[in-house]
This record gives sequence, C-alpha cells and structure tokens, in this order.
Amino acid sequence: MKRNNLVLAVIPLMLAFAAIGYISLYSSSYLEVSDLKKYDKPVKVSVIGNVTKGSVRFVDGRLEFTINDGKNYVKVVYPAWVRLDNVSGYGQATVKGIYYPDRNVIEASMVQSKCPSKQEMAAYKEEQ
Amino acid sequence: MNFSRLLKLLIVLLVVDIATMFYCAFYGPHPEFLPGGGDPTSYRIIFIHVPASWNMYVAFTITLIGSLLYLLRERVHYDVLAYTSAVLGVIYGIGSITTGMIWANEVWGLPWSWDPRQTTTLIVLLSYIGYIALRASISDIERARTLSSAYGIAAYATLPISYLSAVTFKSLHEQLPSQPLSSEAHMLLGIRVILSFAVFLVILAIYNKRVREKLEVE
Repeated sequence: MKRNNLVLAVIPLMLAFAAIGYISLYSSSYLEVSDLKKYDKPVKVSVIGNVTKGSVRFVDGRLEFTINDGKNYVKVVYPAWVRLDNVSGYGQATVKGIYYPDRNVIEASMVQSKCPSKQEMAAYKEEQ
Repeated sequence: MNFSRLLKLLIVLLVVDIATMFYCAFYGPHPEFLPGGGDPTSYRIIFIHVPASWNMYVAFTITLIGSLLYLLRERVHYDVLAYTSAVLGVIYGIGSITTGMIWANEVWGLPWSWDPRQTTTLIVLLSYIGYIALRASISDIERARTLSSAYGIAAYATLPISYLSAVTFKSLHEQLPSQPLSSEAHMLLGIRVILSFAVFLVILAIYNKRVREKLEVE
C-alpha cells in the first residue's frame, strides 16, 4: 500500500472512531429535567437533576422525591431505598426509568447520586 | 542510559511510589463526610485512580506520536515506541476503570452504570486493545507496522471524547477541581501523579529497550 494512500485512509478511519465515540457519548448522556417537556407520551429516559431540598421520603417501601434544574421539576418514584442528599438542594442524582408526562412522574428503575461537589458540601455544612 | 541503570532507577522510583500510595491509601486526607451518606474514606482511591487515568491518556498520546512519526519517517523505533506505549496504556486503562468502578460502587451506588465517562473510557480502552490485536493478527511484520500505525492515529479520536464526556456533558463523574478535597489532598495528589508518571516513563523506556533488543536479535 502506498504511504500517501495510507495517510489518506487514516482520515475516514479517524472519522469512524470519532463517530463511535460520539455515538457512545450521545447514547449514554443524560437529559435535563426541562428536556422532559417535549414528551407527550410515556417514554424511557435517563435524567440528571438536583434533588429538591426536603423532598426525599421513604413511604411503604417506595422512595419518593423530586429533581429539578432550577426551571422545572419532576417527581420520581423508586421501589427501593438509595442514599440521597435531602438537605443542601445542590445534591445531584441521575434517574433512569419511564417518564409519564400526564402525571409528571418518572417510575424509576435506577437511581444514583452524583459525587458531591465543593459547592454541595459547603451548602450542606451551612445547613447543619 | 543502559539497562541496569534504568532498572535501578525503576526500583528506587517504585519503592517511593508504592510507599506514597500506601500512605495515601491508609492515612491520606478525605472529605469529612458525604452528604448522602457513604464512606468518605473511599475518596482515598483518588490517589490511585487519577494517576492511572493520566498515565493512560499520556501513553495513548505517545502511541499517536510514535505512529505518526513511523508513517512519516519509516523508522522502526518509532513503531516500537507506539506499540510499547499502547500496551502500557491498556494496563493503566484497566487500572483506571477498575479503581473507578470500586469508587463508583461506594459513591454512586453501583460499580457500572453506563455513565458517559465510563462508557467513553471503555471505548478508548477497547480501541487500543483492538490496536494490539490488529498487530498480533498480521503475520507480515512490515504490513503490521504500517496498518497498526494508521490505526494508532485514528483510534486517538476516541480520547478527547472520553476526556470531554465529564467536562462538557452531564455526568455522574465530578472533575478534579470541583471535588470536595483539601489543599493538602491536592498537593499529595500532585506528588502521586508526578511519581506515577516517572514510573510509567521508566517502565516505558525499559520495555522499549527490551522490544528493540529482541527485534535486533531476530
């Protein structure tokens, strides 16, 4: 194979790798709470948002809380318990599940809390 | 530098590196608490996770440079540099992902959650495992060098995506400047990164020397 041809072949190969990387990034990235407004029928979603201060409740074996992005909020119902920051209002969580727009609820199959940031820690300490 | 000197340097560096690693793992600073609960001492894994991640990024960057130089100048030692660095990058990458999973299990609640940073780093790792597999699968050495150099350049496209996945996209992964760590922790982390990088460079030099010697013998 001629070297010049090979250098030219690197370009589409590089684009292919970039496309694989971008697709993996796009398919694994999270929606913001306000992005949910575009849905008018139940849909599977992965959302990230701030856990609303004081909203976390564990009732009848179900964890209920709301997440927000400062503009909109959505209620989350999860059939298990998971640790969440219920104090600072800065603690972020990701939620995977089915979003029901008529009730503005996500029936979650997975809830995870994000690593706390400096800002969240400071706000938490201030509240304590 | 000759082989025995490099080996002595590696032993000295490894002793210091392992000593600081153990100190950080058992006595290193960590946040006082985690707002959502969990064990704040789990943050000490940062002293292993961050150096491993940076060494992986540097190793694959060296593979890119080596591959480019090989295609442009056709000198075998550039190809050897690219290959040896890719092998070390994969080892550090496995270390980075494994320590990340251990930390994620404590802080996020699950070891693996297809988070953008986890997913894109896995793509980087698989791409470079592909580089090693490609080389091994071609029997014509000259052809293997040329094709794997082209592949080594192209696969680098996955690296900035992995880095940016937690910087410009929403991710569970908190970037280092936002981590709730003291200045003492940042200083110790700086020392760990430098030491670990020095160890990586010496291992690369030794491995590179060994492979080149083997090629000359053949």
